[in-house]
Amino acid sequence: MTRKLAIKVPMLARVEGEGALEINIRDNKIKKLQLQIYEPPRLFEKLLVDRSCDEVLDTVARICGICPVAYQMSAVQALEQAFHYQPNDEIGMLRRLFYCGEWMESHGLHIHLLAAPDFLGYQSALEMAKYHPDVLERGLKLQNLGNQIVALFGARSVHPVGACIGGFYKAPTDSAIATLKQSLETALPLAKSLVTWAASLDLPDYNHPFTYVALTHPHEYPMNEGMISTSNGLSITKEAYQTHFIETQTPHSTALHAHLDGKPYLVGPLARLNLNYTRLPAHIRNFAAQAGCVFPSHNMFHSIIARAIEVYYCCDEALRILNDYEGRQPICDKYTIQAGIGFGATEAPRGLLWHRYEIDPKGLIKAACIIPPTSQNQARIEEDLKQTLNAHGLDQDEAAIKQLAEKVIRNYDPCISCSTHFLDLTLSRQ
Amino acid sequence: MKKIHIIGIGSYWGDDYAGWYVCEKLVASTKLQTLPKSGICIEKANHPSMALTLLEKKYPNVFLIDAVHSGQAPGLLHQLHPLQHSIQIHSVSSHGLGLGETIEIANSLGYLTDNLTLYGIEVGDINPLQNGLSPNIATACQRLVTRFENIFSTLAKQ
Repeated sequence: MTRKLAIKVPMLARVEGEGALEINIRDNKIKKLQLQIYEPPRLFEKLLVDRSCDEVLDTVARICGICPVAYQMSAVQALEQAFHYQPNDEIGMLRRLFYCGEWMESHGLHIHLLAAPDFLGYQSALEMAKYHPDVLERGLKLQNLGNQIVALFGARSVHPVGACIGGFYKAPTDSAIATLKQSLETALPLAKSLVTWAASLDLPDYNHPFTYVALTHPHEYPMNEGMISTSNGLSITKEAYQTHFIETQTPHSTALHAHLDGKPYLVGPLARLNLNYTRLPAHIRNFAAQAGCVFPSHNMFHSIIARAIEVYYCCDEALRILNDYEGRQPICDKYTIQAGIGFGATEAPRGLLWHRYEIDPKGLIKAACIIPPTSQNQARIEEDLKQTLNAHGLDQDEAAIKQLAEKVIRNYDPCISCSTHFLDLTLSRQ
Repeated sequence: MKKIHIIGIGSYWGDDYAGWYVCEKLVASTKLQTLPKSGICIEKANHPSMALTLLEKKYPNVFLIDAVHSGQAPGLLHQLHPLQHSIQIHSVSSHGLGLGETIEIANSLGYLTDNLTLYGIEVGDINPLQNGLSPNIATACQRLVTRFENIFSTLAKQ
């Protein structure tokens, strides 16, 4: 007997932005599977054209309320490259600290409020809070500490305004640094317990081969700089990104899909950790190993463990930076505006975030291209859904398939609003 | 004196500034100066989940102030007791926490006492480009400031 199943999730819950999922199954085979992103295009790249380079950082911060620092850091890297400006070491370290805050805030939110209910068997964080208040409380504390770091440099934690070309508008005060150090020291045991807890979760066991992409750096766990590297052995500069990674439109998404040499790929915490595990400090690797973590991993559900390890790393790294900070160098150096093209590639919490700007001699933006992690992950999410649902068994009942499919999508922490900047409009008049 | 915690939730975006406006006025109020500093804590949060972490301080009397949008006339002042009445104030946000969820989670975490009051200042559509509050929202905020100042005066006499 022919079995037809049409699964529709009209509005994905616990993801940022508006998306849907449609799956058609016939005779236990997937005939159609679409992650449909219908959030309207937000046209940020066009909004930037003919605006001053000074406006770029505060504008791109508005792309995302969860990861505004990432947009600012990729943009500032690109603009400074165009101006042949190299920030001093201290500014580089403070930018890294700024980024640590964002990873903690974003990962803290996703792990505890969005993903944990899936793995502990609850419909929402609200329901989970009644039975696991300690888990939620830990997450909120870590998330809030991340927000504090972002606010220290950005003047506020949502859409911060403190970063500028050349550095920051204002240096943190000694008392603010002392308070933050104390908070981080208090938070370190929480971050370690987060790793232990994440490693102890009963996660689905689906291993599939897939390609992953992240920055790599010879000396540090990558955030603000590095080569773009892949699990296939490719390692390229940020300038060469568009020769290998191609964006295309699909009818069912307002966000562009991206492919590496024609194939889907993963960006994000699991990709980062898989490619950079040895760049973690030895004491963090040892702690993770004792908790039972093994990387690289090809189980996408290990992303929650990767996020937890990165939260621990960010706590540790933020403390290291604050301990080394002397405040002796200028918080913002002078630079000279000049015409040019600049590229930026940094690691947003959800993965590689690539920017390119063309600037005229007056410092006006003539062209902008922003490729966020979620649009890069779209094709990979669809591929993962097919692999995981097939492995799970398409003869399962509809509710079970639907639940697993939603879990697979949420596991990527997709930020749909971020992904829909651009619409390639071809107007035909007759 | 019973300790009081006032938390204003807001932003600089148009009338969403209401919660912060009230807090800023209260911090500057001369009537506040008559009270012992340890007795009252006034803080601003830029989103409900930040308010959640502030609620961890577990003051016996907590006042939350936020702009609300229920479709009623802008400028209306709502006074609600979320723990005593069933109030549907769930957020439409798909990613962050709304005020309703924040209160429910704070309750699950044991952060709340019985004396929790929510002052909601009814606003219309938020225009993020608007500089400052609309006149009717500013008037409502001032009424709320006066209400708090009366509470301060009463406390000062105790």
